[in-house]
Amino acid sequence: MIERMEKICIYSVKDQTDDVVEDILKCGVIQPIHAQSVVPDEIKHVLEECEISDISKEEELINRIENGITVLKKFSAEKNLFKKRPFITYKELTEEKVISQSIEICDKIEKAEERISKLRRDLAEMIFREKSLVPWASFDIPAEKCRTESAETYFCVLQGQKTSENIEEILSDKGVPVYLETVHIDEETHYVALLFLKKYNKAVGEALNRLGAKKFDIEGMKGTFAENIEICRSNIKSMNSDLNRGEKEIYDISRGKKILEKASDSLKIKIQYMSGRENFLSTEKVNIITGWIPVSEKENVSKKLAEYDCFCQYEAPDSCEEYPVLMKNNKLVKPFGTITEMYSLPKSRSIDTNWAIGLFFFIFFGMMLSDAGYGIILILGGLLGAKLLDIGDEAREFFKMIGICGFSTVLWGAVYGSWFGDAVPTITETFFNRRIEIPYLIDPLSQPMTVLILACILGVIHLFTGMGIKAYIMIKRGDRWGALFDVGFWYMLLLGLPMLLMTGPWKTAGYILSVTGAVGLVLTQGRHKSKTAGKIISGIMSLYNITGYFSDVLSYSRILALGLATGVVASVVNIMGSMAGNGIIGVILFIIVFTAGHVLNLAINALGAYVHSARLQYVEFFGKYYEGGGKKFDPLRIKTKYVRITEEKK
Amino acid sequence: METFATLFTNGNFYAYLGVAVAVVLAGMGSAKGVGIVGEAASGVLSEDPDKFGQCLVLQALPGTQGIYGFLIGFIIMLNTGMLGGDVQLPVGTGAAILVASLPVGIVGLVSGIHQGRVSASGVKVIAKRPDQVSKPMVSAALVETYAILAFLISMLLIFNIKI
Repeated sequence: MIERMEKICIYSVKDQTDDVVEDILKCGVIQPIHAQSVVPDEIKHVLEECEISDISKEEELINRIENGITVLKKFSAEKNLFKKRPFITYKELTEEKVISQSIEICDKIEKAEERISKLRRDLAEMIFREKSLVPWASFDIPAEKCRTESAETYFCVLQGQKTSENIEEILSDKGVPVYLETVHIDEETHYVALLFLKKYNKAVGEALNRLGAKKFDIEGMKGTFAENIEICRSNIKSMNSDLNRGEKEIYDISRGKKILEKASDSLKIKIQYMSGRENFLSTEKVNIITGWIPVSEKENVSKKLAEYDCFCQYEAPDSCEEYPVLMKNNKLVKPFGTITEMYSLPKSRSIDTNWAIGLFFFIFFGMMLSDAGYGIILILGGLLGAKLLDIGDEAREFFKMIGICGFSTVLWGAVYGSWFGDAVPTITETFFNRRIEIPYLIDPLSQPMTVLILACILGVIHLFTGMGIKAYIMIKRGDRWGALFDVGFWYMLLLGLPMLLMTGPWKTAGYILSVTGAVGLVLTQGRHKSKTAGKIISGIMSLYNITGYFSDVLSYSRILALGLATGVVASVVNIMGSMAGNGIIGVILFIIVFTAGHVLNLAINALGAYVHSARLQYVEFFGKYYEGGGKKFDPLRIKTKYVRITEEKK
Repeated sequence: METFATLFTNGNFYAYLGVAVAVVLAGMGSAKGVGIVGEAASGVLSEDPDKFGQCLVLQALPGTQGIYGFLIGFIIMLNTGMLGGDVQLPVGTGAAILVASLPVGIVGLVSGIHQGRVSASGVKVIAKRPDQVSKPMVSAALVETYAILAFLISMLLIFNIKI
């Protein structure tokens, strides 16, 4: 059923507007609309738009807090699928101190973060220095003694095939005396110390350039290389412990994550209600708040608002005005609303047909998956998931839907005698040498035609239900004759045609029905055309639609195909599992193949069953009557990410 | 050469060819289709790895053709006793099996690729409007209809071939 909506118009004194809006937010049943569209024209000129509140400060703070939460998340390892968000009252959530505490925590986190990242940089630098010093460790002359008034020592790194001999060669050609010592060799790199007189500085530099040698700079270094390496190492050690201490610091703060989460949600609520104000109009002393409200909630809201000095007025929408759509159904039908929503919500003046969608989806899904074992898994997974997981309302409805469809799957699985395919006969035959058959009503492998006919009959019922709904909508809108012309005649024709295949009085009846229907269609289907020729042509052409109905019905053959696919793949899994006989290895192989195979088969075929059941609704069923394009009712309400709001304790 | 010519009067040859046609062609279609979606999906995943689940669902959709082909191949093997190894089929029966496996093979090849393309463009929907993922799923399912119909015909034909 689609809830009826009315427009509510609240005139509240300015001082109280904040509290009124807060209460509206808590009720969560009013969808604000722009007040301009509701207020009568005569008074519009005295009203001003409410000034848009500045929320940039709040948004900035939220960003800081969210950053803080991400930092802390790294340190709290808890990741529990079944963890539910804590409950908290609205009052506790919006307390001032939540925000002030969270700002303190954010400051601490940001400082610690900054320190840690600086430490990380320094540490990386130090490690690099240590690594570059190590090859020189065996050169035991202190750096300050490497240079005298007239002599100089270079430390250079030679790569490729080049060695100290190359340097010697070049320099002796030029007549430069030089002392060379290869300090260290690893793989293709030679570390060479080179002593020469300062006056040959230029010649040495050129020679080194030619060989592509890199000079290792010891400017500002004191003591031997080995001593310097020692210093680096102890620095690294102390930096590491500093880093650990910094991380420990953040870890200590991580207990404050709960406060940050609260603050984030509390700020989001604040932003929600501040931005809700954009729609208000105001005079000097009064704010005008307008919105859609479900008729069933009127009393509740009126009672709440009676606490304030405000005036509240309701107005029913015009007969042609569309209002936001909220569908209300019982517990069993509600989960299937997700399927309708996925397509498009019905127009507000149309009707809610979730019961039919739910019923047929239930049947088709079961027939397509058609394995009792898989059905049991779906029931457990779906219903337990909906109960135990904290996943938000929409996902919960989806889980419930899967759980409900599991029952249908068990039912059809039992009809087909498929429990994890033919697991029971296979297991008993392989491991106990006695084949036990499971009883069944229909075996789709040996009686595919029976299932095919069943599927097509269900298809016809599905299509006729859709057409019936179309007739119902037309009659409700006062177009009785239209319902007879567009639906009644088609019923006659479509029922009459298959009856022609029977014998005796049935055949005669079929003859009468189909001819009446066909003639009726030819006479009426052109009634919207203006010219006589147009009327006749449209009338005759309408009979061509019969091929459309034919292909619609055949489309339901997928029910058989998907059902067969599940059953046969399941049997294949069982056959492959039992190939190694009944020894220990056989049992182990069977368990592995059985688990992996059936999980895969269940996943792929459940997806297929879901998608194709949905398709049968959208293309075949909705095509007959559905009027989509409604806007979803989206009231101003508390949306939180980390906590859940409960009622105030009294 | 004599042995090569006798191949064409051997019923077993056609039956084995039928298994190959069903499995190979339909498998090729699915492999290509799943591949196309995978390529598109990694573009989205590099931006937002959390969408892996949704992408996986879309990627799995064009995989069914391969399964249908595999099933037809397997049913032929079961019905003709190929798993036991001792097969003696007349030429007519073998040829009938080959022809019966053509629908699932050929339609599987073409529809697998096209379904892959529809799903791949559906990946863009995941990137921009992750809440709307079911709509491209249904679009992809429309393409699969024809693979299902072909599978059904192949299956009914093979069930009704007398061995």
